[in-house]
Amino acid sequence: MPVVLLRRLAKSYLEAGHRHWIFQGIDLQVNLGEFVVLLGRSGSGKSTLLNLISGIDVPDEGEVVVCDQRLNQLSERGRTLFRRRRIGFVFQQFNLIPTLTVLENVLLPLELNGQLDASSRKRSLALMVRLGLGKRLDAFPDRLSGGEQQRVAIGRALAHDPDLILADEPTGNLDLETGRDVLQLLDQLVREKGRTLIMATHSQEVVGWADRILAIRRGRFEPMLP
Amino acid sequence: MKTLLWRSNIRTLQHHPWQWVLALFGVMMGVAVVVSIDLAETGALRSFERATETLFGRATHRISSPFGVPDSLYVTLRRAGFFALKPVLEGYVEVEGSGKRLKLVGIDPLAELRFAPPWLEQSNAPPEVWRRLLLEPGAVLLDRETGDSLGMVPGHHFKVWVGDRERALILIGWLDTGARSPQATLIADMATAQEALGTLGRLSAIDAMITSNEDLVALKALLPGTVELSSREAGSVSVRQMTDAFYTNLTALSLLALLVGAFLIFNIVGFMVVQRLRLFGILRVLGLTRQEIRRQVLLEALILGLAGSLLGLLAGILLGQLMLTLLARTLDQLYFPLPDARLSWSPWMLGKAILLGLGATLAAAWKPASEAARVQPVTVLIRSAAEQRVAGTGIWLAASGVALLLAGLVFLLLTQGLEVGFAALILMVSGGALCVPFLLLGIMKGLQWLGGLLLGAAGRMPPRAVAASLSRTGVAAAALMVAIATTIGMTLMMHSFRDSVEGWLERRLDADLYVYQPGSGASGRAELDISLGDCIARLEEVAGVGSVRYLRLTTDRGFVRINAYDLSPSAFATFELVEQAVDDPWQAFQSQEAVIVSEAYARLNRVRAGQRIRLSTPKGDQEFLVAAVYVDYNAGRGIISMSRRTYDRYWDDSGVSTFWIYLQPGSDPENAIEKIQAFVPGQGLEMTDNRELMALSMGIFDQAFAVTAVLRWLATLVAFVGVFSALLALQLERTHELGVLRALGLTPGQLWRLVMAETGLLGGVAGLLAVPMGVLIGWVLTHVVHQRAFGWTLSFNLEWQPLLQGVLMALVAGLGAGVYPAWRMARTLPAEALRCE
Repeated sequence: MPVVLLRRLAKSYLEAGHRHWIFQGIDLQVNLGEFVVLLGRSGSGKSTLLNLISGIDVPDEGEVVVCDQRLNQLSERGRTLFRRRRIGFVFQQFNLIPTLTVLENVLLPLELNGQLDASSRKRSLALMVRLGLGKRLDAFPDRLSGGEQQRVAIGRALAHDPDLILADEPTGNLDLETGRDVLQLLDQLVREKGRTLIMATHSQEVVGWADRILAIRRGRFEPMLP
Repeated sequence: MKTLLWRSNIRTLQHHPWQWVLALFGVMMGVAVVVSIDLAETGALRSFERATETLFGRATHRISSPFGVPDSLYVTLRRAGFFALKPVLEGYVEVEGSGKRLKLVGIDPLAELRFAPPWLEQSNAPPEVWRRLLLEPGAVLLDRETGDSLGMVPGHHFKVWVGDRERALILIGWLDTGARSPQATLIADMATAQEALGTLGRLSAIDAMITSNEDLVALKALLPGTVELSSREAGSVSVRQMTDAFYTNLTALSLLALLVGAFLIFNIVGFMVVQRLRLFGILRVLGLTRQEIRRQVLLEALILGLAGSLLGLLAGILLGQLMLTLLARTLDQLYFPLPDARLSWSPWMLGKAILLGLGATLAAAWKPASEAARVQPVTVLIRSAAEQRVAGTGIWLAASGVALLLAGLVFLLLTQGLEVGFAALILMVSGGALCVPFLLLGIMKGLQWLGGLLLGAAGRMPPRAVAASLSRTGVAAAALMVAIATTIGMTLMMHSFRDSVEGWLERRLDADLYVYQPGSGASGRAELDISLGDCIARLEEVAGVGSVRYLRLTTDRGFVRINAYDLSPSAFATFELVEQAVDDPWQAFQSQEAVIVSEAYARLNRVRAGQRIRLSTPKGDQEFLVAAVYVDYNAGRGIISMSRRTYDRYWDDSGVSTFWIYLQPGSDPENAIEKIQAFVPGQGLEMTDNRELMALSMGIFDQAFAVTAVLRWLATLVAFVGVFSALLALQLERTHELGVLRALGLTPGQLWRLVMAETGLLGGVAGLLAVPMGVLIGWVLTHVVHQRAFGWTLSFNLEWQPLLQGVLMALVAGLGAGVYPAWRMARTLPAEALRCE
């Protein structure tokens, strides 16, 4: 069952008066429970693709369908509300809210979706324990190490149980060992919940975890063996 | 708003409490100034109305004359069957030793009862007191509050001065009529009052209760030509009309202070949005919609506005008391005395202030909120994108700013109203503010080049830092520019006004001596006989004599002041004519058919030179040609000036209010004064030279501007705090960046210099940009607003001191704002600073 469907997708940017095409006419299908890695060098369009899938950005041409919803048919507000409910994000820079504690950061998506109650709170606490942050719940992000911050970000991405998790270079700011721990956790949790994960990275380290690897070169996908 | 987001916002507030405190201060001061002026104006007006109502009772009309009314007229009217009448005698006395001026009102208790004035109706004074008031010479009643303030108790003998004459009075009891008693007013029997005021046989007026039109016609027919009959409303309407422009001007100036406050809110809210762009970007990714982000920012602003408005309300009430005291003094000098000025407020007035504060806050926060709502999730991590966008839009902002400036100018030229004039001014100020980011960028680029040339990298860094953070510095500089420009503009206006009045007085006070007799009238002058002029003219020390008779006519359209001049052609030349309909205005003035009118009269009555005006004279209605319009800075509804010959033709009056005397060169003024005094022994003439009179007049002018001066200082205070807070915020927000510089090897000393150079640069440039805008504000206030409010043409004096003061204030505030962040950063470990986001 496809969770993400891209049809004849095209995206370009205007740079110094010249149109620079990131993608032109690409197609992709990502199925439920799949862990797909987008591999490519900096500037290859990995982040742009994640932005298009999440509805943060809109394509010049083509269609983006996520969880049976055609994002092109939604307004900006509609895409935002869709993202809020159905997608979880993990960033390279963590992007935690500095004025919220660890637990509050994780609870934020639940609250935004109106799902914050005793049971969801309990589930989130269990998730944080699982992520090894059970004793840092009241800490603020600036007091955490990079690995801890990324684990909070994973907790935040999964707390509201989204169908699709998008991760943009989640280990890019971490050392090798910490990065490996984070990946393991992310992989475990996503697979346990049967969710779909699309991860953009330039790190070959990640490929061992993926079900499918797509290398982006010159605006096209080139499948690689895991 | 969601709980967690609330929590996040509250923590942001906890991290930057000074930002909110200063923003609160901005709203609070803006609202406080508006509230205080509103309270003081309403208090003054209510006080006047209360005084009128208290003394008028049920009277519907007043019979009066500029020269008073003979008490025989009262008897005549009663004999003709008009029993619903009461005599009125009012004057002012000064209590010996205290210098306090009290109103002295003479009453006929029996006639008074019929009119049931509230003070009399509610009086619980025992019959014995009334008996003594009627029979005992010098007996008076007074309200307990005023009595206490003067240290008086019933039975207290005291002396009062009426002009140069001393009178003995005795306080026989309190009025004790609660809140309705006339304040600071001595009540006496008519005979006592006439004796004390030196007006035996004369009344100030006769009040009448007229219930039918027939009675009104019959009463009119019985009145001699010199006497006027006006409705009770006419007095109130007149006072309202007279003080309307004065109040409008004050209200507008207070709104200007609110505008400065609004710009500070704009700055702070805008700053806090830019500061949180990254946070908004993250929230957008997490699924917060644009509307929710806009709502969040607006809600924060709303809370800020509400808290600031409530604080402003409290501060306004406190400030209002000071303003009312100043306003009462000003009104006393310019228009009428207000013995019982109390703050007066209504729920509507307080609600209006809160709405104004909230409105200003929301208006100021709207753009930053929209800016926050436009944050793209994709650009979460690209702050430079915001800076580039601001730099890119700078030219468009500047273009719209120029368009607004021009629109304001066109608005100003094509319209006439005072309120519209202020609206155009606000349009121009806003236009100027929009030009600031573009100009700031240009100046910083220039300074970057210059700094690099002179000091190398160290010289390039501060202007580059200011230019690189244009999204923050541009807004701050715009707010600072408006704040400083407003204070410069108000100062230039006040100085120009003062200089114009000084020049006018110097021109007009060309004689050596001025002779008048202090009296009990509201104008403070008693009448002198015209024959005294002939006596003075015969003195060997005297080269020439002129005179003027001041007359205030009360008509149903309000007060009209007439000045009847006996003057030489050279004295006439001291009138600065701004419009003339005849080739020789002097000839026309002497012709008995023409008058000249002051600018204020021309504007308020929509009269131009060449038109004819109709005046009610004792010899019937007469038409006069307006030969010219002249410059005059007297407050009120303007003046009609005519020659004494014209006046004598229509008014049967030999009184003179003031004589002026030109002395022979080399003659001793003291000799002349002695001789003049000898002509009227015991009459106690007041004789002053032009310098003294000028000093006295300028004193009155300064008093009249006391409220405006306070407003200017308040605007300056708000501006200073604004400059300080904006620059402080900018620097504290750079903690991380400065931490990086420290980590890279910048010494604490170098950091000090860098921070101070940046804040000083921004403050100084904002101050410099405020100069042209300040001049524009000053010019509009001087040339347009005063012209429209009072009909006064003022010459605009572009002095350099207020401009320099403005720039220095911005610079000092800028440097001052750098001290704390530099000190803090110099003491903070770079590692700590690097942790800060």
